[in-house]
Amino acid sequence: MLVVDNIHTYYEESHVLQGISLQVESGETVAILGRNGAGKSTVVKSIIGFQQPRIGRVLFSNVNITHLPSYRIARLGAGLVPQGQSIFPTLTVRENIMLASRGIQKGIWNLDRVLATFPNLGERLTHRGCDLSGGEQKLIAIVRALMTNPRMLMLDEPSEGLAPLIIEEIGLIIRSLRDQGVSVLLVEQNLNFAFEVADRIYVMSKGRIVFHGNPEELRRDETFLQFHLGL
Amino acid sequence: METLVIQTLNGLVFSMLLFVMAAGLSLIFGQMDVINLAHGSFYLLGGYIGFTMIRQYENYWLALIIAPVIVGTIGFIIEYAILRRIYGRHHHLNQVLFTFGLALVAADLIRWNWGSYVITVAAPPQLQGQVPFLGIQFPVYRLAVITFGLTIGAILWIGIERTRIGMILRAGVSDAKLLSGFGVNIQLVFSGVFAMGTALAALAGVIGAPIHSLYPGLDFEILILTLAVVVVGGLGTLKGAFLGSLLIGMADTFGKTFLPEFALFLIFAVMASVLILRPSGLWGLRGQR
Repeated sequence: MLVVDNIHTYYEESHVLQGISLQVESGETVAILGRNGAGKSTVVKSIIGFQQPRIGRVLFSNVNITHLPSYRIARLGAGLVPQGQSIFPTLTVRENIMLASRGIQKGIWNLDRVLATFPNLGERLTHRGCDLSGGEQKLIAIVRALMTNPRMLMLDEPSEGLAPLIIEEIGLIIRSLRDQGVSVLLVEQNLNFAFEVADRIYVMSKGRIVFHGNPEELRRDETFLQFHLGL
Repeated sequence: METLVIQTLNGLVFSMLLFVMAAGLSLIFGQMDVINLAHGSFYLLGGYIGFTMIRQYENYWLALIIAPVIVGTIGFIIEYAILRRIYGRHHHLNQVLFTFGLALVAADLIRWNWGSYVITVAAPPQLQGQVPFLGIQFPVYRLAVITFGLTIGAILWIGIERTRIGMILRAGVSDAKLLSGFGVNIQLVFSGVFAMGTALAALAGVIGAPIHSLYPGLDFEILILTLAVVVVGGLGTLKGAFLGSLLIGMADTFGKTFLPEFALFLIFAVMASVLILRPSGLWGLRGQR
């Protein structure tokens, strides 16, 4: 599904990603862990094309997307839930959701299905984005990404700043996506959340990947966790 | 009393012209964060192209359609070829230099092609003459301009509030780059917005020509007043452009009637007071976040 092959990404002269390689298979949930500033978000930005790598390449569904504009990558089936509060504040909930529905990408997600899956959204449709709680905003950001009917969903720190109940709900959504065969690439600092939902885990530090394996292996290595993730 | 009614109507006429200008400027700023200092040049170019069309084909209505199409196409090409290379906050100086340079080049090209004397343009035959209105005689054309400005405003409002393109534009004011992550071709949106903005300026040029004539230097006069409108009204919203135009249009018209020496001063006084009280304009989007 996704192959990231030895990418180097820069912000101006700052060498943020120093040779990152990773893969996400069809229907697999993969998490990238790491401390603040390790370069996790930059991996997502390099894939979606917001910050294109200078060296290396990114393949998505066997298409070389390294230098494609973001909208083309999104139309190939890469869904994005950005970090922080990303929904459009002056648009209503309905508009935020419909914005991502292009009608070109045939798929199972449409407004009816969204409302059936998340019944609480129904009464919120006419509210403006800025009037919602952080948890509701995050949920809408996820729904918005689903409306593009992605084959792979990328979530950049979805649990950040949210109450445990909402994090649990997001975990349920991710698991049900996996059951539907959607690949998930999750960037997280919340280890327990990542351990619960991920099939495989990469750990990043200072722009490089320092661990790759399954959650159990990582959980056992306490010295490593302490050193790279500060637990 | 008569003067008051006449000047109020004149103020409304001028406000509507400014509104069509400010709507374009505001639209471009809201999406691309670019202050287009060539906006007045597109007004004047539209006016001159309209004048040539009217002279050639003796058809004002054709000019009203063709001039914005030609100028909008020029805008599209400028955005596509150059402007898109200098987007972003760290390029603000480049944007100012580029659009100001564009304005200087346009001014010379216009002078070269149309000469430097004042050109008067007749109102279309259907809209000539005067009608009684609120106890005074008022030119039909000027009343038509008021109606026209309100119509353009209504069309833009519906377009922005009720269509999918409008939804994308409103979202783009908050974060245009993010939109591309959901499959929106934001580059194309930018080109379209710039074309649309310049076409609106040209439209104002054609509408304004029978009232203000055409002459070199009018481009910068109009630009300064339009900038005053968006500073007062606030950038990025149609409402700000509309209400700002009313304020500045009225201040300019009444200033010129009652305090002719202080007309320009009056406008900048209004502008300065607004900036002190509400730095992001009275109805600006940026200030609310």
